[in-house]
Amino acid sequence: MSGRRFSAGAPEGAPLRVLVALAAASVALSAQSAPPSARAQAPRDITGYWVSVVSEDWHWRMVTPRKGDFTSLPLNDEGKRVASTWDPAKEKPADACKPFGAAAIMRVPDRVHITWADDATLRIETDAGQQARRIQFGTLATRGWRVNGRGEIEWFEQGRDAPAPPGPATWQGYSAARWDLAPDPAVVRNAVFFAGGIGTSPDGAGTMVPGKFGSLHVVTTQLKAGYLRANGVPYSDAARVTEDYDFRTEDDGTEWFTVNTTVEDPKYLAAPFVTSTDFRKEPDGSKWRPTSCAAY
Amino acid sequence: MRRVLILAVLLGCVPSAARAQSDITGEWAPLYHEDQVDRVPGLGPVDFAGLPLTDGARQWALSWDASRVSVLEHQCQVHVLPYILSGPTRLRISAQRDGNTERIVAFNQYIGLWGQDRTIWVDGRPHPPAIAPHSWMGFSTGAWEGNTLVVRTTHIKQGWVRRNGVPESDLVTTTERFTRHGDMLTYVIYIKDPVYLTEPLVRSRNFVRMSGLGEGNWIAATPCEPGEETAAPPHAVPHYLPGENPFVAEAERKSGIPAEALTGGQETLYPEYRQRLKELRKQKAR
Repeated sequence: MSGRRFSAGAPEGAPLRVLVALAAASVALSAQSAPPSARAQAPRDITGYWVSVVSEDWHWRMVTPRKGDFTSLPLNDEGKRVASTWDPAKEKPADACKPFGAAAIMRVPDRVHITWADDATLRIETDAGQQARRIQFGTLATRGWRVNGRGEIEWFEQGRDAPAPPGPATWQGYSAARWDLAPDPAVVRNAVFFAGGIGTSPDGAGTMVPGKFGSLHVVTTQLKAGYLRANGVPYSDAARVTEDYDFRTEDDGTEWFTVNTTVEDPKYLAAPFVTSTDFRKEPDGSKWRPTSCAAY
Repeated sequence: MRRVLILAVLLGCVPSAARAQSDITGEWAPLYHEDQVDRVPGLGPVDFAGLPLTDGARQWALSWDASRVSVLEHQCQVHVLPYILSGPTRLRISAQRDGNTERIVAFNQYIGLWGQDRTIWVDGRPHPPAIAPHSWMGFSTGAWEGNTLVVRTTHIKQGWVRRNGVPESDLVTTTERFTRHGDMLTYVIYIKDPVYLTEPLVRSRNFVRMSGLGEGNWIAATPCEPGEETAAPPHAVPHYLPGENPFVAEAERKSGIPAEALTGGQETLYPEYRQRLKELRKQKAR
């Protein structure tokens, strides 16, 4: 632990102007460096086939719940009323994909295939319902960090979210994304030192695992109205879906991601609906079984 | 050294420890938008779907009688670590600093349910040897992976992974991840049990940051004092012999889910099991 702690001894004899320049450069490095591309910025390779592991909400995901079962959903009165009128016999063929829209798709038991369409666009396909999501980088405000005057890391957002380009509402809508990257511990140590954290080091520095880490942050709008659950629990075309994807490798070498999904809907929800869903990476696409919405 | 101090003054800074990671300290309230029935009222007997159980675990769970919790020796058993943060509980996290260096050496967690305290050491200390005593919360060490606090725990007592009798052994180990997204704390636990699970069990939950002191939101921990609750003979252990659990048929009837699925197993966790469920239901309808 002590070997990784920052020593205050090295800069002691350096000219003051050099130190000031170094401090400025160190802070600027974290806050202002222009990222090369979304693909290059990715903290790890997230492409490949992933399977949803249904260890949660099994009764509400593996089978279609009974009509009127709104368990755990923060519906408002209108949401409950509409869900109560659901009649599977009256569903039209055009309604078949309603449970596969972006507000619900990551909760469906399925496999997803993640690829880069180009350097700034991720593609997430599902075998269940044969949906394809395009995740577009470069249109959300960026998130960075800097060391403030108290020697603390401070997060900030730069720029503004660009409005979604005009287009029709679809099941998967328009998804804008950015990487929320964690600070590099080595850069933090330098920046903190030059900002006044003399003789100290970032909390827990002794046990910080080196590497590139961060979340994928996605905001989806322009959605066609669909179902939060297959038993007709609605979300409207005013819904907004915010997702944070956290990728990891467990000690046994398996790769996973957990996607935290928040659905906000002024029409049918009394509060944001939040779930977290787990996917494990598969070695290949041999278990990929595309199934139409109607046949699922 | 004098010049360095001058620099600090020029930059308007006070020497202090800095946080390279997200601040996960504070008070957190659970969101029950997933697994609400399992976590709050609790699932009924014989509902083990979505758990990768070994045959031994299934047999244990089928022999479990809910009256067990009334047995004197079991009354004060608390939820062990693999389950407790899924339960109806608030969570308070604080940092513990070394008095000399001011460095954080541990994160303390107070879990409202049964008033459990746990310590997550982040000072690089090793885990104790296997023969060391076990506890409900086990022994935990942590390390930061970016903004995520990764916590590895061993030395957990025998307990359960679902509170309708699904067992967890004292050989269980867990890896937990605490990641903050704004005012949301995402909690993921990866449970490995070589005795009762055929593959690791993963669960993810969300907590929301509580504002203010929220004194009314906490329930005071009450010490558990066991006492006679039933007229059962002393030392009797309520149980069902193999094939005699009456709730198998009842659970099937109430849920409409075939017993094969309700009794769990690795295969029930994967999308393709939906097809198997359709087949089982067709067989049942014939």
